[in-house]
Amino acid sequence: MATFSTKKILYGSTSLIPIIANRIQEEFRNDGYEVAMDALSSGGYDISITKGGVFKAVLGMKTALKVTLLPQGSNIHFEAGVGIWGQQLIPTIISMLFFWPVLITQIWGIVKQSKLDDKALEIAQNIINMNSNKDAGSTGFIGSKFCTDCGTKNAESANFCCGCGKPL
Amino acid sequence: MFFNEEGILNIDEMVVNNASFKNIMEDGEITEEEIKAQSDKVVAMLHDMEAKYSKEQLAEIKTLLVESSVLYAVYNFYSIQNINR
Repeated sequence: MATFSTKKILYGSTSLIPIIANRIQEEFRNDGYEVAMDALSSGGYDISITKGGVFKAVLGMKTALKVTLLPQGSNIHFEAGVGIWGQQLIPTIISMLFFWPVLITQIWGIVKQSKLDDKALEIAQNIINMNSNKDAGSTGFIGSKFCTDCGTKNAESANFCCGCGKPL
Repeated sequence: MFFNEEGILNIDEMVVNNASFKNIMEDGEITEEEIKAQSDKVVAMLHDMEAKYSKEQLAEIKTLLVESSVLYAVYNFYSIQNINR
């Protein structure tokens, strides 16, 4: 179990990073969270997710679940932790308070209880799985359906398009 | 006193409402003089406590200060370690 962040290497193409980021943004917004997303120069994305009642404001700044997706070789590095809303990971870890580690550990406890990091990870993993189904199906799906938005062929069982991430 | 109703440490609210913090942050710029003055204030408070409290009370305060400083130090080492990775 992670102490105050969840890190995982996702074995999927780095070209999926924008699709995963958009999907995470969309699903958390649908659940009433405020979401901000920044494209990083590395090709990665930094996503801030917050909602009053779950995350605490510290010195006038909102704390948030920070999801970072970074290309790592030909795979994707997924990291979820607690940080300051809208600030990317490195500036965020510069401690604002002497007791900052205590605060983030406590807020991380709430995130773990709510399984918010698991939800973000599951969204990412689903998109990768759908994409690998697509690759496997390049020789032909047994059953398939096409996305009405981008025209990508998807497995019959897919709920979201593996090309653009939109619901099927 | 230390924790809010959700059981989370209330230190940031104490800081925001603190007179020294308000005074330093008032003009939106932090100067070296302000940092030195705040540092001197902390040292003066420790000297006052040494004169005022019993050995047992001072030992408790000292333990809290040291344990908190250990946490702060190792957390920052951990952050540097992650940046360098």
